[in-house]
Amino acid sequence: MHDSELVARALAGEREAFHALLERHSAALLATLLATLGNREDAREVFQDTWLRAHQHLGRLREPARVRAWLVTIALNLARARRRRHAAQELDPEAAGAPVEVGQDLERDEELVALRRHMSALPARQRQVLDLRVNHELGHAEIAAQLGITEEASRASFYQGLKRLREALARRARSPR
Amino acid sequence: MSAATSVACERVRERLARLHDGDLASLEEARDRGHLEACGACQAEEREHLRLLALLPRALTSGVEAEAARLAAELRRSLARAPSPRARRLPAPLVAAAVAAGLLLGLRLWLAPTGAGLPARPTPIELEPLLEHLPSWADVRAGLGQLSRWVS
Repeated sequence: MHDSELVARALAGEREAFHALLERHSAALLATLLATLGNREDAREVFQDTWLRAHQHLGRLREPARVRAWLVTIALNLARARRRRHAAQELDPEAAGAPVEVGQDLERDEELVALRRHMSALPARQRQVLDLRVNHELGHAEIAAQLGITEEASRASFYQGLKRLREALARRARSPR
Repeated sequence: MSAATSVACERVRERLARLHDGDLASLEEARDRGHLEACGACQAEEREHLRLLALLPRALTSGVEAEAARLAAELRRSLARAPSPRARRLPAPLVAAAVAAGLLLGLRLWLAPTGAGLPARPTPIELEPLLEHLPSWADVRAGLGQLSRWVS
């Protein structure tokens, strides 16, 4: 079922529809928060606040088909507020995005582990742009607005990040195991 | 491989990410796609690029699914006690005030001091007499004030 239909049903009072949105978008949202905040406890709290706000303000969502982008906006705004409170500093792209701990299910797939490791070696800005573009399918204009950069900078970070990952994976494929 | 082909391969491989991101002008896109159709080595590069794009979402979220599911289950329990979300509606007093303001305006126009009412057939509009018949802002504000007291 499409997101916009789930939103409509949730607004009509179907609790299960909101739960379905929760199931569908939780992992991607949590991954983004972990990468942004670099702290598991903070990420968990912001994750929960994000969903509580989404539940409270779902009726204000103007484009139900773009619920994921809306959730990411809420999450990143809350993450920024939290970082400002904790560190009294703006979201610093070099400080943000500490590598996320690798879970057990990932360990089973060597290539994913390698990719994850290469991603954690990317500059934080490239990692953030890759996450917002690939994970949440935001356009470069939206990414630029979220991160306070230009669209060109978003594109450049995305292409540069992809290029570095491809090169790293190609080196890995060539090297003896 | 000729030198020309090599340069073309380099250009196409360099721009694969832009090509699949829809960032190339249509002529450039057609040119790169034309090359890709004919060049097996670049097709292999493209396959690798697409494979990376397919792997990335998994790489970004792997390892957090179990935790996300646990947090989602906690949220579901918390939200079970909260009222369901509702579509945003204009507050009832605001709607009532807008309707009443419209009625007041209509009534004020109809009962204009000329007593002429509306003509049976439209005649060319003269703005000045019409403006004289409009209620003053003070009247409208007073009407809205009365209405809001009535609603509350």
